[in-house]
Amino acid sequence: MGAHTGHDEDARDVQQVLAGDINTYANIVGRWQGPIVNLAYRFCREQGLAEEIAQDVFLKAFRALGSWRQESKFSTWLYALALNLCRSRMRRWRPDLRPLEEAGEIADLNLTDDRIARAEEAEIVRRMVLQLPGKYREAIVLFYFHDMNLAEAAASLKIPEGTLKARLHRGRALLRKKIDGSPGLSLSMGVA
Amino acid sequence: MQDDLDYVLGAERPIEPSADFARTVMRAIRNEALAPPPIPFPWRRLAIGAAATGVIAAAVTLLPQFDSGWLGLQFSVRLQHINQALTGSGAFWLAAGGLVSYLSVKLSLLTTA
Repeated sequence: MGAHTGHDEDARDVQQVLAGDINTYANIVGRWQGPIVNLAYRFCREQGLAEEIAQDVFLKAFRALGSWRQESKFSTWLYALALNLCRSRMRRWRPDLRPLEEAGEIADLNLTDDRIARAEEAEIVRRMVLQLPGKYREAIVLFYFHDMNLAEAAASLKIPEGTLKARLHRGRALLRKKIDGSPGLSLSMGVA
Repeated sequence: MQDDLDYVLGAERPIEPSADFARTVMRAIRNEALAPPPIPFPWRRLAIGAAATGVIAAAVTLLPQFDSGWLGLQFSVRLQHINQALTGSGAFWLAAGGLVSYLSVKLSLLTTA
């Protein structure tokens, strides 16, 4: 997800936009719409809201394009911007989380299609991440969003890798405790 | 080594942005580019105005305390009148109210930026 190439393309397009060619910004949007919408989605788990946040990210990036220092990757800069917007939106908005008690109901459904049941369990666990305190939630979302690349996740969060490791450890422990405290919810491999 | 939690959190299938997402964003970008630039806050005028107000306030407050012979009796009496009028009319509280309103607007703009 986070593994995107095209640093040169980004740099070239940014130069053109800054020179006044606004239409070139469509290349940047096209290249990054998937990652940014997906990152926002992992913080809210609602596609409509994720797209709203992503649109704000692209607008804010357009306004601040001149402040991108090219020593850092464009993706790092853009993700940091997206993360800030996700943070401020999440402060004012609470996701419509399925109550944890429902986790027990899933086990009782006795679904014939095992995959559906596993996918639902996985979704509940991902929503549980949103209930963690902010710093642990961000650490977990970014770490898995970047395909478990610690360095990229730490760069997006602007924290040292060691700090990220500690937050991941603590966040995962809290998440594991929530899962264990939810009757009927058990993690199984082979999730969709 | 991956465990079950890694698997659940790492194996999430990405969602696809809506078909018209990029178009909507570019429309917003073009509108943004066409919009006139925001009028900058007149900090310079504010500073000059505040400095002038400070000088006048200091003059009105302090000058009557000097020897009236140095200032001229009539002038000193006039300043005292101005001073009394300002104090009596609640000018200080008006200025303080204005300042608090200004600061609260600035603060709200900063927090919503």
